Amino acid sequence: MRLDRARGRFYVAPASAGSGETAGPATCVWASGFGKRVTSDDDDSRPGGFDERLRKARAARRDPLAADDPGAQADSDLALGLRVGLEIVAGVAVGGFLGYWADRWLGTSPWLMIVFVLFGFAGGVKNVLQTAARASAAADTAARASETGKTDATDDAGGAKPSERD
Amino acid sequence: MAGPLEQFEIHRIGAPLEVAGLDISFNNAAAYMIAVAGLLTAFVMLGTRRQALVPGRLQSMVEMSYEFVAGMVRDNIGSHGRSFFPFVFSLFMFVLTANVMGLLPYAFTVTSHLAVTFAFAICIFFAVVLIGLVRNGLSFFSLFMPSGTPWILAPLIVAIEVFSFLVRPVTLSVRLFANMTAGHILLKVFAGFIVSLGAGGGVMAALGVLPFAMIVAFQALELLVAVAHAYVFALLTCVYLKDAVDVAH
Repeated sequence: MRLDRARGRFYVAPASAGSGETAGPATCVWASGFGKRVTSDDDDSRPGGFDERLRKARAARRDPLAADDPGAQADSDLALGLRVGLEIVAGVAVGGFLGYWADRWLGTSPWLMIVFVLFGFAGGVKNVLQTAARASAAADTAARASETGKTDATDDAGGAKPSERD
Repeated sequence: MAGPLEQFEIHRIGAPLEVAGLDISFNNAAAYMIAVAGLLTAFVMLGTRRQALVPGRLQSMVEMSYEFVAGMVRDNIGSHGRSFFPFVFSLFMFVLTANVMGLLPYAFTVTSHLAVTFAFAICIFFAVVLIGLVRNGLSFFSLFMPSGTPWILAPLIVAIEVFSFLVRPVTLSVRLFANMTAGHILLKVFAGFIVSLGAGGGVMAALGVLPFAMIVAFQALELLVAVAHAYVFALLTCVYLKDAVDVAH
Protein backbone atom coordinates (compact mmCIF):
# COMPACT_ATOMS: atom_id res chain seq x y z
CA MET A 1 0.00 0.00 0.00
CA ARG A 2 1.36 3.38 -0.94
CA LEU A 3 0.16 6.97 -1.22
CA ASP A 4 -0.14 8.36 -4.70
CA ARG A 5 -0.70 11.94 -5.64
CA ALA A 6 -2.87 12.67 -8.60
CA ARG A 7 -4.25 16.11 -9.45
CA GLY A 8 -3.49 17.45 -6.01
CA ARG A 9 -5.36 14.70 -4.27
CA PHE A 10 -3.96 11.78 -2.35
CA TYR A 11 -5.45 8.38 -2.40
CA VAL A 12 -4.45 4.92 -1.44
CA ALA A 13 -3.51 2.92 -4.43
CA PRO A 14 -5.02 -0.56 -4.44
CA ALA A 15 -2.58 -3.20 -3.35
CA SER A 16 -3.20 -5.15 -6.52
CA ALA A 17 -2.63 -2.21 -8.84
CA GLY A 18 0.50 -3.76 -10.20
CA SER A 19 -0.99 -7.13 -11.09
CA GLY A 20 -4.03 -5.57 -12.79
CA GLU A 21 -6.42 -8.46 -12.24
CA THR A 22 -8.45 -7.26 -9.26
CA ALA A 23 -8.11 -3.52 -9.57
CA GLY A 24 -11.04 -2.87 -7.27
CA PRO A 25 -11.76 0.54 -5.85
CA ALA A 26 -9.89 1.65 -2.78
CA THR A 27 -11.09 4.07 -0.18
CA CYS A 28 -9.65 7.52 -0.44
CA VAL A 29 -8.15 8.55 2.85
CA TRP A 30 -6.88 12.01 2.23
CA ALA A 31 -7.71 15.55 1.21
CA SER A 32 -10.76 16.56 -0.76
CA GLY A 33 -12.13 13.15 -1.58
CA PHE A 34 -11.91 11.58 1.85
CA GLY A 35 -13.83 8.33 1.94
CA LYS A 36 -14.61 8.38 -1.77
CA ARG A 37 -14.02 5.27 -3.81
CA VAL A 38 -11.35 5.82 -6.39
CA THR A 39 -9.78 3.42 -8.78
CA SER A 40 -6.20 3.23 -9.78
CA ASP A 41 -7.04 3.70 -13.44
CA ASP A 42 -8.84 7.02 -12.79
CA ASP A 43 -7.54 8.37 -16.07
CA ASP A 44 -8.75 11.81 -17.18
CA SER A 45 -9.60 10.84 -20.73
CA ARG A 46 -11.31 7.47 -20.28
CA PRO A 47 -15.12 7.29 -20.60
CA GLY A 48 -16.61 8.58 -17.38
CA GLY A 49 -13.32 10.18 -16.46
CA PHE A 50 -12.62 13.71 -15.42
CA ASP A 51 -12.75 15.16 -18.93
CA GLU A 52 -16.14 13.70 -19.67
CA ARG A 53 -17.57 14.78 -16.33
CA LEU A 54 -16.25 18.28 -16.91
CA ARG A 55 -17.84 18.37 -20.35
CA LYS A 56 -21.15 17.20 -18.91
CA ALA A 57 -21.02 19.77 -16.12
CA ARG A 58 -20.28 22.53 -18.63
CA ALA A 59 -23.17 21.42 -20.84
CA ALA A 60 -25.52 21.38 -17.85
CA ARG A 61 -24.51 24.93 -17.01
CA ARG A 62 -26.84 27.11 -19.00
CA ASP A 63 -27.53 30.77 -19.07
CA PRO A 64 -30.30 31.33 -16.51
CA LEU A 65 -31.90 33.87 -18.81
CA ALA A 66 -31.85 31.66 -21.89
CA ALA A 67 -35.44 31.10 -22.82
CA ASP A 68 -35.11 27.94 -24.87
CA ASP A 69 -35.62 25.80 -21.80
CA PRO A 70 -39.06 26.36 -20.33
CA GLY A 71 -38.31 24.95 -16.91
CA ALA A 72 -41.70 23.97 -15.64
CA GLN A 73 -41.25 25.27 -12.17
CA ALA A 74 -44.39 25.13 -10.10
CA ASP A 75 -44.81 28.01 -7.71
CA SER A 76 -44.52 27.07 -4.11
CA ASP A 77 -47.82 26.38 -2.39
CA LEU A 78 -47.11 29.14 0.10
CA ALA A 79 -46.72 31.75 -2.61
CA LEU A 80 -49.89 30.49 -4.23
CA GLY A 81 -51.92 30.67 -1.04
CA LEU A 82 -50.74 34.17 -0.30
CA ARG A 83 -51.73 35.26 -3.78
CA VAL A 84 -55.32 34.10 -3.98
CA GLY A 85 -56.48 35.24 -0.55
CA LEU A 86 -56.87 38.88 -1.38
CA GLU A 87 -58.14 38.81 -4.95
CA ILE A 88 -61.89 38.68 -4.31
CA VAL A 89 -61.90 41.27 -1.54
CA ALA A 90 -59.81 43.63 -3.65
CA GLY A 91 -62.07 43.06 -6.65
CA VAL A 92 -65.13 44.10 -4.69
CA ALA A 93 -63.28 47.06 -3.18
CA VAL A 94 -62.07 48.35 -6.53
CA GLY A 95 -65.52 47.85 -8.06
CA GLY A 96 -67.14 49.70 -5.18
CA PHE A 97 -64.64 52.55 -5.32
CA LEU A 98 -64.96 53.07 -9.07
CA GLY A 99 -68.73 52.68 -8.90
CA TYR A 100 -69.04 55.23 -6.11
CA TRP A 101 -67.09 57.88 -8.03
CA ALA A 102 -68.79 57.08 -11.32
CA ASP A 103 -72.14 57.56 -9.56
CA ARG A 104 -71.01 60.86 -8.07
CA TRP A 105 -69.90 62.00 -11.52
CA LEU A 106 -72.94 60.87 -13.49
CA GLY A 107 -75.52 61.25 -10.73
CA THR A 108 -76.81 57.71 -11.16
CA SER A 109 -76.46 56.64 -7.53
CA PRO A 110 -76.54 53.80 -6.60
CA TRP A 111 -76.84 51.81 -9.82
CA LEU A 112 -73.32 51.98 -11.23
CA MET A 113 -71.89 51.08 -7.85
CA ILE A 114 -74.05 47.97 -7.65
CA VAL A 115 -73.08 46.91 -11.16
CA PHE A 116 -69.38 47.67 -10.65
CA VAL A 117 -69.23 45.76 -7.35
CA LEU A 118 -70.64 42.72 -9.13
CA PHE A 119 -68.16 43.08 -11.98
CA GLY A 120 -65.36 43.58 -9.47
CA PHE A 121 -66.38 40.40 -7.68
CA ALA A 122 -66.48 38.51 -10.97
CA GLY A 123 -63.08 39.91 -11.90
CA GLY A 124 -61.66 38.77 -8.56
CA VAL A 125 -63.06 35.27 -8.99
CA LYS A 126 -61.64 35.21 -12.50
CA ASN A 127 -58.18 36.08 -11.16
CA VAL A 128 -58.39 33.31 -8.57
CA LEU A 129 -59.49 30.75 -11.17
CA GLN A 130 -56.76 31.83 -13.55
CA THR A 131 -54.10 31.58 -10.85
CA ALA A 132 -55.34 28.14 -9.86
CA ALA A 133 -55.45 26.95 -13.48
CA ARG A 134 -51.94 28.19 -14.10
CA ALA A 135 -50.64 26.57 -10.94
CA SER A 136 -52.20 23.20 -11.69
CA ALA A 137 -50.93 23.34 -15.27
CA ALA A 138 -47.43 24.02 -13.96
CA ALA A 139 -47.77 21.20 -11.43
CA ASP A 140 -48.93 18.80 -14.16
CA THR A 141 -46.00 19.74 -16.34
CA ALA A 142 -43.58 19.33 -13.46
CA ALA A 143 -45.08 15.93 -12.61
CA ARG A 144 -44.85 14.78 -16.22
CA ALA A 145 -41.28 16.05 -16.44
CA SER A 146 -40.26 14.13 -13.34
CA GLU A 147 -41.98 10.99 -14.64
CA THR A 148 -40.22 10.98 -17.95
CA GLY A 149 -37.02 12.24 -16.39
CA LYS A 150 -36.66 15.16 -18.73
CA THR A 151 -38.21 18.58 -19.10
CA ASP A 152 -41.15 18.78 -21.38
CA ALA A 153 -40.20 21.18 -24.13
CA THR A 154 -43.65 21.63 -25.58
CA ASP A 155 -45.43 23.20 -22.66
CA ASP A 156 -44.78 26.74 -21.51
CA ALA A 157 -45.69 26.69 -17.86
CA GLY A 158 -45.58 30.45 -17.51
CA GLY A 159 -48.57 31.26 -19.62
CA ALA A 160 -52.17 30.28 -19.20
CA LYS A 161 -53.48 28.65 -22.32
CA PRO A 162 -56.57 30.14 -23.90
CA SER A 163 -58.71 27.29 -22.63
CA GLU A 164 -57.80 28.15 -19.05
CA ARG A 165 -59.23 31.61 -19.32
CA ASP A 166 -62.92 31.81 -18.73
CA MET B 1 -44.79 52.57 26.69
CA ALA B 2 -44.97 53.01 22.93
CA GLY B 3 -48.16 51.94 21.23
CA PRO B 4 -48.09 49.19 18.64
CA LEU B 5 -48.68 51.65 15.81
CA GLU B 6 -45.95 54.09 16.77
CA GLN B 7 -43.39 52.12 14.76
CA PHE B 8 -45.10 53.20 11.55
CA GLU B 9 -44.96 56.92 12.22
CA ILE B 10 -43.09 59.16 9.83
CA HIS B 11 -40.73 61.65 11.43
CA ARG B 12 -39.17 64.59 9.71
CA ILE B 13 -35.39 64.62 9.64
CA GLY B 14 -33.66 67.95 9.31
CA ALA B 15 -35.16 71.18 8.03
CA PRO B 16 -38.78 71.35 6.84
CA LEU B 17 -38.98 71.56 3.08
CA GLU B 18 -42.03 72.61 1.11
CA VAL B 19 -42.59 72.83 -2.64
CA ALA B 20 -45.90 74.08 -4.05
CA GLY B 21 -47.73 73.35 -0.82
CA LEU B 22 -46.38 69.79 -0.62
CA ASP B 23 -44.32 68.75 2.37
CA ILE B 24 -41.27 67.11 0.84
CA SER B 25 -39.05 67.19 3.94
CA PHE B 26 -36.58 64.39 4.35
CA ASN B 27 -37.98 61.76 6.72
CA ASN B 28 -37.19 58.42 8.27
CA ALA B 29 -38.93 56.47 5.48
CA ALA B 30 -36.78 58.21 2.87
CA ALA B 31 -33.68 57.61 4.99
CA TYR B 32 -34.44 53.88 5.16
CA MET B 33 -35.10 53.69 1.43
CA ILE B 34 -31.73 55.28 0.76
CA ALA B 35 -30.14 52.90 3.26
CA VAL B 36 -31.74 49.91 1.50
CA ALA B 37 -30.58 51.12 -1.91
CA GLY B 38 -27.08 51.81 -0.58
CA LEU B 39 -26.85 48.41 1.11
CA LEU B 40 -27.95 46.67 -2.09
CA THR B 41 -25.49 48.60 -4.23
CA ALA B 42 -22.68 47.76 -1.82
CA PHE B 43 -23.77 44.10 -1.72
CA VAL B 44 -23.75 43.64 -5.49
CA MET B 45 -20.65 45.75 -6.12
CA LEU B 46 -18.58 44.10 -3.41
CA GLY B 47 -19.85 40.68 -4.43
CA THR B 48 -18.80 41.11 -8.04
CA ARG B 49 -15.58 43.04 -7.38
CA ARG B 50 -13.37 39.99 -7.73
CA GLN B 51 -15.00 37.65 -10.20
CA ALA B 52 -13.49 34.43 -9.02
CA LEU B 53 -14.22 31.20 -10.88
CA VAL B 54 -14.83 29.56 -7.54
CA PRO B 55 -16.92 32.21 -5.78
CA GLY B 56 -16.41 33.21 -2.20
CA ARG B 57 -19.28 33.67 0.24
CA LEU B 58 -20.32 37.15 -0.86
CA GLN B 59 -19.96 36.42 -4.56
CA SER B 60 -21.99 33.24 -4.08
CA MET B 61 -24.80 35.21 -2.47
CA VAL B 62 -24.87 37.69 -5.35
CA GLU B 63 -24.79 34.89 -7.91
CA MET B 64 -27.58 33.01 -6.13
CA SER B 65 -29.78 36.11 -6.12
CA TYR B 66 -29.04 36.64 -9.78
CA GLU B 67 -29.85 33.07 -10.73
CA PHE B 68 -32.98 33.00 -8.60
CA VAL B 69 -34.43 36.12 -10.22
CA ALA B 70 -33.19 35.09 -13.66
CA GLY B 71 -34.98 31.76 -13.33
CA MET B 72 -38.15 33.50 -12.22
CA VAL B 73 -38.01 35.93 -15.17
CA ARG B 74 -37.27 33.15 -17.65
CA ASP B 75 -40.05 30.87 -16.41
CA ASN B 76 -42.70 33.56 -16.19
CA ILE B 77 -42.04 35.98 -19.02
CA GLY B 78 -40.28 33.73 -21.52
CA SER B 79 -38.08 34.72 -24.41
CA HIS B 80 -38.82 38.44 -24.11
CA GLY B 81 -38.02 38.42 -20.43
CA ARG B 82 -34.34 39.23 -20.74
CA SER B 83 -34.92 42.95 -21.14
CA PHE B 84 -36.99 43.08 -17.95
CA PHE B 85 -34.44 41.32 -15.80
CA PRO B 86 -32.72 44.45 -14.44
CA PHE B 87 -36.06 45.91 -13.40
CA VAL B 88 -37.35 42.75 -11.73
CA PHE B 89 -34.01 42.13 -10.03
CA SER B 90 -33.89 45.66 -8.57
CA LEU B 91 -37.52 45.43 -7.49
CA PHE B 92 -37.14 42.03 -5.84
CA MET B 93 -33.92 42.92 -4.06
CA PHE B 94 -35.30 46.26 -2.86
CA VAL B 95 -38.49 44.78 -1.44
CA LEU B 96 -36.62 41.83 0.07
CA THR B 97 -34.03 44.04 1.75
CA ALA B 98 -36.65 46.51 2.98
CA ASN B 99 -38.75 43.67 4.43
CA VAL B 100 -35.85 41.96 6.16
CA MET B 101 -34.29 45.22 7.34
CA GLY B 102 -37.60 46.13 8.96
CA LEU B 103 -37.33 43.07 11.21
CA LEU B 104 -34.27 44.50 12.96
CA PRO B 105 -35.14 46.04 16.31
CA TYR B 106 -35.78 49.81 16.15
CA ALA B 107 -35.82 49.67 12.36
CA PHE B 108 -38.48 51.28 10.22
CA THR B 109 -40.19 49.06 7.64
CA VAL B 110 -40.43 50.90 4.34
CA THR B 111 -42.85 48.37 2.85
CA SER B 112 -45.31 48.72 5.74
CA HIS B 113 -46.62 51.88 4.09
CA LEU B 114 -49.29 51.56 1.45
CA ALA B 115 -47.96 54.75 -0.16
CA VAL B 116 -44.70 52.96 -0.95
CA THR B 117 -46.11 49.65 -2.14
CA PHE B 118 -48.91 51.30 -4.11
CA ALA B 119 -46.41 53.60 -5.81
CA PHE B 120 -44.51 50.51 -6.94
CA ALA B 121 -47.69 48.75 -8.03
CA ILE B 122 -49.10 51.66 -9.99
CA CYS B 123 -45.76 52.15 -11.75
CA ILE B 124 -45.79 48.48 -12.73
CA PHE B 125 -49.41 48.80 -13.86
CA PHE B 126 -48.71 51.75 -16.14
CA ALA B 127 -45.49 50.13 -17.34
CA VAL B 128 -47.49 47.07 -18.39
CA VAL B 129 -50.05 49.21 -20.22
CA LEU B 130 -47.41 51.35 -21.96
CA ILE B 131 -45.12 48.46 -22.91
CA GLY B 132 -48.14 46.51 -24.10
CA LEU B 133 -49.35 49.37 -26.29
CA VAL B 134 -45.88 50.08 -27.70
CA ARG B 135 -45.12 46.45 -28.47
CA ASN B 136 -48.51 45.28 -29.68
CA GLY B 137 -50.30 48.45 -30.70
CA LEU B 138 -54.03 48.33 -30.33
CA SER B 139 -54.05 44.55 -30.36
CA PHE B 140 -52.96 44.89 -26.72
CA PHE B 141 -56.64 45.38 -25.95
CA SER B 142 -57.36 41.86 -27.15
CA LEU B 143 -56.11 41.02 -23.65
CA PHE B 144 -59.62 41.91 -22.51
CA MET B 145 -61.25 39.69 -25.10
CA PRO B 146 -60.19 36.05 -24.78
CA SER B 147 -60.29 34.19 -28.06
CA GLY B 148 -63.36 32.03 -28.53
CA THR B 149 -65.70 34.26 -26.59
CA PRO B 150 -69.26 34.08 -27.96
CA TRP B 151 -70.33 37.51 -29.26
CA ILE B 152 -73.39 37.48 -27.06
CA LEU B 153 -71.24 37.31 -23.94
CA ALA B 154 -68.59 39.74 -25.17
CA PRO B 155 -69.72 42.87 -23.25
CA LEU B 156 -69.94 40.93 -20.01
CA ILE B 157 -66.60 39.20 -20.49
CA VAL B 158 -64.84 42.42 -21.46
CA ALA B 159 -66.20 44.19 -18.36
CA ILE B 160 -65.03 41.37 -16.10
CA GLU B 161 -61.61 41.26 -17.76
CA VAL B 162 -61.20 45.01 -17.43
CA PHE B 163 -62.05 44.85 -13.74
CA SER B 164 -59.72 41.94 -13.10
CA PHE B 165 -57.02 44.01 -14.81
CA LEU B 166 -57.78 47.12 -12.73
CA VAL B 167 -57.67 45.13 -9.51
CA ARG B 168 -54.04 44.16 -10.08
CA PRO B 169 -52.25 47.20 -8.64
CA VAL B 170 -54.53 47.09 -5.60
CA THR B 171 -53.94 43.42 -4.78
CA LEU B 172 -50.25 43.70 -5.52
CA SER B 173 -49.73 46.60 -3.13
CA VAL B 174 -52.24 45.76 -0.40
CA ARG B 175 -50.92 42.21 -0.07
CA LEU B 176 -47.39 43.35 0.71
CA PHE B 177 -48.40 46.29 2.86
CA ALA B 178 -51.01 44.36 4.90
CA ASN B 179 -48.72 41.44 5.63
CA MET B 180 -45.81 43.59 6.72
CA THR B 181 -48.00 45.86 8.86
CA ALA B 182 -49.91 43.01 10.47
CA GLY B 183 -46.74 41.13 11.34
CA HIS B 184 -45.10 44.13 12.93
CA ILE B 185 -48.19 45.01 14.96
CA LEU B 186 -48.37 41.42 16.18
CA LEU B 187 -44.74 41.48 17.28
CA LYS B 188 -45.23 44.81 19.04
CA VAL B 189 -48.38 43.70 20.87
CA PHE B 190 -46.70 40.58 22.21
CA ALA B 191 -43.65 42.62 23.20
CA GLY B 192 -46.05 44.88 25.10
CA PHE B 193 -47.38 41.86 27.03
CA ILE B 194 -43.87 41.07 28.22
CA VAL B 195 -43.39 44.57 29.58
CA SER B 196 -46.81 44.62 31.27
CA LEU B 197 -46.30 41.21 32.87
CA GLY B 198 -42.80 42.14 33.95
CA ALA B 199 -44.13 45.25 35.66
CA GLY B 200 -46.67 43.08 37.51
CA GLY B 201 -43.86 41.33 39.37
CA GLY B 202 -43.83 37.91 41.05
CA VAL B 203 -45.84 35.19 39.30
CA MET B 204 -46.90 37.65 36.60
CA ALA B 205 -43.28 38.34 35.71
CA ALA B 206 -42.61 34.61 35.45
CA LEU B 207 -45.55 34.28 33.06
CA GLY B 208 -43.81 36.82 30.83
CA VAL B 209 -41.80 33.94 29.44
CA LEU B 210 -44.86 32.84 27.41
CA PRO B 211 -45.23 35.93 25.21
CA PHE B 212 -41.46 35.99 24.91
CA ALA B 213 -41.51 32.48 23.46
CA MET B 214 -44.28 33.57 21.11
CA ILE B 215 -42.16 36.49 19.92
CA VAL B 216 -39.28 34.19 19.08
CA ALA B 217 -41.63 32.02 17.01
CA PHE B 218 -43.28 35.03 15.36
CA GLN B 219 -39.92 36.52 14.50
CA ALA B 220 -39.07 33.38 12.53
CA LEU B 221 -42.49 33.44 10.89
CA GLU B 222 -42.06 37.11 9.99
CA LEU B 223 -38.72 36.35 8.36
CA LEU B 224 -40.49 33.77 6.20
CA VAL B 225 -43.28 36.23 5.40
CA ALA B 226 -40.76 38.95 4.53
CA VAL B 227 -38.95 36.72 2.03
CA ALA B 228 -42.09 35.08 0.65
CA HIS B 229 -43.81 38.39 -0.02
CA ALA B 230 -40.79 39.85 -1.77
CA TYR B 231 -40.92 36.75 -3.95
CA VAL B 232 -44.66 37.03 -4.56
CA PHE B 233 -44.32 40.72 -5.44
CA ALA B 234 -41.60 40.05 -8.01
CA LEU B 235 -43.36 36.96 -9.33
CA LEU B 236 -46.61 38.81 -9.96
CA THR B 237 -44.67 41.62 -11.61
CA CYS B 238 -43.30 39.00 -14.01
CA VAL B 239 -46.76 37.56 -14.64
CA TYR B 240 -48.13 41.03 -15.41
CA LEU B 241 -45.20 41.92 -17.65
CA LYS B 242 -45.82 38.74 -19.61
CA ASP B 243 -49.25 40.11 -20.56
CA ALA B 244 -47.54 43.20 -21.92
CA VAL B 245 -45.06 41.35 -24.13
CA ASP B 246 -47.25 38.66 -25.58
CA VAL B 247 -50.92 39.22 -25.90
CA ALA B 248 -51.52 36.05 -27.90
CA HIS B 249 -54.53 34.73 -26.03
